[in-house]
Amino acid sequence: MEPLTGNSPERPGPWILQKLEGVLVTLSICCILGICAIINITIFGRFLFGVSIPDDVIMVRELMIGAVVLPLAYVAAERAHIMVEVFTSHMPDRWQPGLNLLSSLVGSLMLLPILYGGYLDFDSVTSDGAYFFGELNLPEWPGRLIFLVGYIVFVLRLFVLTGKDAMTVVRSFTHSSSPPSEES
Amino acid sequence: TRVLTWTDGSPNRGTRAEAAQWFADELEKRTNGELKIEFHWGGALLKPKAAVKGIGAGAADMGLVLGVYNPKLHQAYILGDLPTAYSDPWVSTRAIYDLVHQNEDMQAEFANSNLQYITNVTSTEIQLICKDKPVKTLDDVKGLKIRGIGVYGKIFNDFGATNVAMPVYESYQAIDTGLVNCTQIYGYAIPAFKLQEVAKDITKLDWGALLGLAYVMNKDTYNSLTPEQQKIINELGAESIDYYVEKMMLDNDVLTNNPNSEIDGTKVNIYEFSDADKARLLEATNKYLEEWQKSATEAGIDAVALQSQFHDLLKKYDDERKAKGYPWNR
Amino acid sequence: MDPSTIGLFGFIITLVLICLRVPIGFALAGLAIICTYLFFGFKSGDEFQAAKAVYPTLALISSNVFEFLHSYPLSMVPLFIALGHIAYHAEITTDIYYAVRVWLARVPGGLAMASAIGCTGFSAITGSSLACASAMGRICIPEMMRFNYSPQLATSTVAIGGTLGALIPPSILFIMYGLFTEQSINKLFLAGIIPGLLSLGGILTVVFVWSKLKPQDAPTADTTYTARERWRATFRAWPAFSLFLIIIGGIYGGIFTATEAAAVSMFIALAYGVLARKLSWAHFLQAMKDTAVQSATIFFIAVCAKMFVAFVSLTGLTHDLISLIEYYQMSDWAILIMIALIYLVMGMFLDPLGIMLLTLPFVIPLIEGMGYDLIWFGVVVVKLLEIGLITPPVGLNVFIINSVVNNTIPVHTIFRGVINFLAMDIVVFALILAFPILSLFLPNSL
Ligand code: NA
Ligand code: NA
Repeated sequence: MEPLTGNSPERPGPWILQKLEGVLVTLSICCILGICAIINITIFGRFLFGVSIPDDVIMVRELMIGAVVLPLAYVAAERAHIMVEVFTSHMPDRWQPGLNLLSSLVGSLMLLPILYGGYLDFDSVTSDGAYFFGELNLPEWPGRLIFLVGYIVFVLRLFVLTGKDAMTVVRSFTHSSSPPSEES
Repeated sequence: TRVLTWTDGSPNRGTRAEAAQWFADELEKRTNGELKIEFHWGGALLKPKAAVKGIGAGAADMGLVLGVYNPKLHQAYILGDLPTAYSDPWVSTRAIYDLVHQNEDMQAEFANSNLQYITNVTSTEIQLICKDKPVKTLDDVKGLKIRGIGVYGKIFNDFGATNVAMPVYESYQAIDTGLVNCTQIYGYAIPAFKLQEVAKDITKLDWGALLGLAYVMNKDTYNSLTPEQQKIINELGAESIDYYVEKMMLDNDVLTNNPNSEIDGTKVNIYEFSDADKARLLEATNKYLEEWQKSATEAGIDAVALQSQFHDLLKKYDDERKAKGYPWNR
Repeated sequence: MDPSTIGLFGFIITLVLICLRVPIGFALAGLAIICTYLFFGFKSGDEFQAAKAVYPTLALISSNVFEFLHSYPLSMVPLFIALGHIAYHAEITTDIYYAVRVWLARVPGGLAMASAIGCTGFSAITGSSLACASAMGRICIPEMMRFNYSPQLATSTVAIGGTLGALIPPSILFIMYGLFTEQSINKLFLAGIIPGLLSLGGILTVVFVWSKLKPQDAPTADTTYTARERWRATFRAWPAFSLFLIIIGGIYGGIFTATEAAAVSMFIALAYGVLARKLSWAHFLQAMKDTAVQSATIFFIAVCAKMFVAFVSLTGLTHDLISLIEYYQMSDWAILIMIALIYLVMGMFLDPLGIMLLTLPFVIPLIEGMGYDLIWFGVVVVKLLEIGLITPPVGLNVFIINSVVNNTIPVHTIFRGVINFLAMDIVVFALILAFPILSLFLPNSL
């Protein structure tokens, strides 16, 4: 079953970024499997032995951050974020690079405040030594760190896309007399 | 008119919401409409855990903060969450209010978060509400999953329950879905959270109370008010305690004075712990009092002084209550 | 500038951006951030204070994003998504379809009916309509085409069948609705069953009438199956039945929480796939990767909508709207119909989750004020959102089907087929609206 997109193009950009995105998706998969495992162990522990994992709820919450934040860069690279294509599909081909640029530009700009906010939060939980009041008093920084990492790579990916898209737009202007290229 | 945004994790109904509304109405009246409060209930603006940082940063002007959600930011203040021999809501709320105003460590702690302390609320006595399996004695908690907050959760754990830490605002879903069997709760809060819909067995523990519940204001917002406005807010803060506590004690009647055992038309079962069990609960606190002393001292707080000051204030107000009764009955 | 003006301008710009193919999440988040910043900048007077607005904005944004995701009950969303992908790769989904197909082989439009019933079966183990349309589309459409069904009937049946995904439990939309409105997710799950089956009845009726009126669209196959073959095919669907029993029976028997049911069923599907040698390592990885990507996509939209909702809360727009409606003294029915129209119009352009999160802060206080049951209203909202999945110009289910068949069947052909079902769906919706008992019977009998 494919995700919500049709045929996705090759992820553009430096190989290191592609590699990183792949690693983050793998980590996200580990987080989802981790959630599944923690909850199953809690249930079977409860039925069979009457014991449970301490602070399981907090651990699941922390893993949720990894599960849903880490793949964001990969999704952006595949241009798989949900978008409305009905109107733009009727627009001329030579407009398409400009539309791509608009998307990646809006994305880059809106992510910066979230990223900075995420950094401030991470900074404050580490300097406060904040922890969750539970049996284990688990520290708060891991979830904040995962969030920060996910968004850093997400932003990097959008910067790369913006650069690529801008170059395509510039190229299409300089070759405006030639017929639309096949990549649009 | 200046509009102040107020963030509150509580639902927009029930005792605490009505009390906060009273504060807002009085503020508007006493400042002749110069100051108005706009409420954002149910954590719509800031989730309960994010309230301290959010108000400190100015994302909201004022609101409710709970010490237990960010223990590291309230090392001194969470002393109020430890059960004491004085469980009377009026006595303990008055005492902690004075303590915050008189103790330097407390003052510094709120200032560090860029907060102006306005007034104190209390959870009132801690009770237990359960689904399916009633808890009639302390030994019944063995093997149950209980939502307990702070030290209370840890003590349930010590008596063989599994503690699940989560904000009170999530209790309804947690009980309904079976994530927990019971949750720590307070009489007046049961109808506000509609808990009687999903859990019918209530056990009266009459155990301690959470006192680390403050109505605070962003320090910059406070400093930008005129001296007269600041004075009105301070006076209102001091006065509101009697108003809140009276209201909460009245609403706690759903448990103490409820011959039909009905909450909002739903039949519930009400049990009560024996005095011996209540004493066992209180005794289990000592270990955590020492833990608190240790971590507070590490944070540079004069824990012993704070504790004895608190104790003196508790005693002072308890004597006053014994001598004169509650202010609203005088 | 007053907040309503900021909000209005922001909203228009956002719509323009969305129409220009800017991802919905980017547009919503951008709107929320800029509006929040302007709000705080203008807050303490007439003069704009750029520097003072920065920290409040950041605090509001980041806490809303993080705290929203940092949730235990929401973890059932990736788990149910994973269950759907694993069930697909382990051929559990296919077996449901085959089990129904052999029984309906001789009925006019039997293959299309089997597809719709197969969608219902798969709906009972997956939380998303899109997953349902995508998985069933891959299985059923090639089969129908092989038996010379018309492309219109073949594709539109699955497009509409997919909309049962969010109505029949488990359902991501019900989970989100329950968390936002403080309603019991268990009760919502239960409330969706009868309306879901009613919708299925509607689909089957349309298929039947269609096949009678235009027999050339649904040629009856001459294959026959012996009773033995039929029972064998039925028996092969046991993993699907077991998963359904675990989810529904486990929750209502009080054995599991909804989250636990998600985790247990995912584990069992995995174990079945491995033990029955139906889930290769490559398939497992593919299923998990799709789960990760899809979860991230869904939650990104949700988080961006949540940021916007926090801004709306800040402005007090909800309050203004309610006073406006009170001022015009609209009747309950007028309000309900207005709400339905708004959902249908928004459903033409946006995805269901985004619409739901954006509208609930306005709609729920209204419905609560009128004294309606919020469980029933949850079913109403989800049904409306499901209709939005098949209405042009943005019918996500139609697009999914179009991509499943690799664009060989054009979108407008699918839309034209869907129109036949749409009328019936409106009737079903009217019944759900007029008779709350249809939704409330099961949850209230608990
Ligand atoms: Na479903
Ligand atoms: Na639509």
